[in-house]
Amino acid sequence: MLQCHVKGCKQGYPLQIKVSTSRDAKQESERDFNPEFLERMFHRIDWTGLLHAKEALGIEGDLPATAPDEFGQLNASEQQTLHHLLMEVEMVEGELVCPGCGLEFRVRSGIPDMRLPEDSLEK
Amino acid sequence: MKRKHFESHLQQMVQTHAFPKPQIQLEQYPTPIALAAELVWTADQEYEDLEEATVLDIGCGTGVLSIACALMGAEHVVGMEIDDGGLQIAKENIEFAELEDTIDLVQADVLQGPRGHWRRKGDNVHPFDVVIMNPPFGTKNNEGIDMAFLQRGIEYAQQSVYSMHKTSTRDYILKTLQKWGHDEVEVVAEMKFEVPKMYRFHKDKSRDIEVDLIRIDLS
Repeated sequence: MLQCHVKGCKQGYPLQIKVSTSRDAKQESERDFNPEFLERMFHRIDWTGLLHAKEALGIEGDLPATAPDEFGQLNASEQQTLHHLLMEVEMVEGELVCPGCGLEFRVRSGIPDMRLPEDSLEK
Repeated sequence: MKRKHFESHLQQMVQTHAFPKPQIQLEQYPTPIALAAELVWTADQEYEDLEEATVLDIGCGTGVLSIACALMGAEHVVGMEIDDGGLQIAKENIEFAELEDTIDLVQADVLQGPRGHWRRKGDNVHPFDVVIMNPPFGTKNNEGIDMAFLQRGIEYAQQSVYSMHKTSTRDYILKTLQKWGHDEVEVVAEMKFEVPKMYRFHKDKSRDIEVDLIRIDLS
């Protein structure tokens, strides 16, 4: 689900990804490379979150440790890695864990359940 | 493509168009295909808001609006829904339309707010270009829920928000939005929403409700 630039990379404190160990916990597909789209998305990406996601999902390929100013400054292979990570990889089963409070959000059939438990709302 | 062609295309791409167990407290009514087509057609043809856009569908229900956006050329759509039943149908509909690569589903309670999810602090970057919704009208013991949906939509969207509201509440909604600092609000279409007899308290067989399609410009 970290294919989704929005969910994985948008949090001020990126949720940690725990992919389930079951066989079909991660799915990869093929989508057309769309540099214009990635260019526009680029500034909305939380780079630290993205790198965490890459590691947690076990995705090969290079990405710089810090984000360059523009998408165009990534070399061709880095652009492909970003494309693959954002657009083609999906976590089907697992958890998203808040690094702040440890709250776990379950992901089932590719749908993260972001509902907060009642007791966490009173804070 | 013509408007009516888009509508019939959408009709064909939506497999299941009803909630198996409608829940009254969530005010679940399926969004009629014609209304979904109207919203998406307007957003694309009149405002060019959808081409390659990222879209959030708040309270997506069975996913009709999300599917309509994806068919119209949105690059990525997220459907947010609280109810298991709605999500299940939405998932099946998305698979039927073969749009799994474009549409993601998230189970969440709109009223619990972003709490930092999907938002970066301190800057003005909003995660989605466009937010669309057919919110509950807030008439069944949940007054104000329509405004809560709108408020969320405005927080998430960079460019525009599209929403449907009862025409009878138009003045109130426009005034409230103005109070929040949004002057760029337009009623872009007036439509009829047929509410079928679904719940026991419905007396008539079905009833037409007049609905405004509004667009909030945030750019």
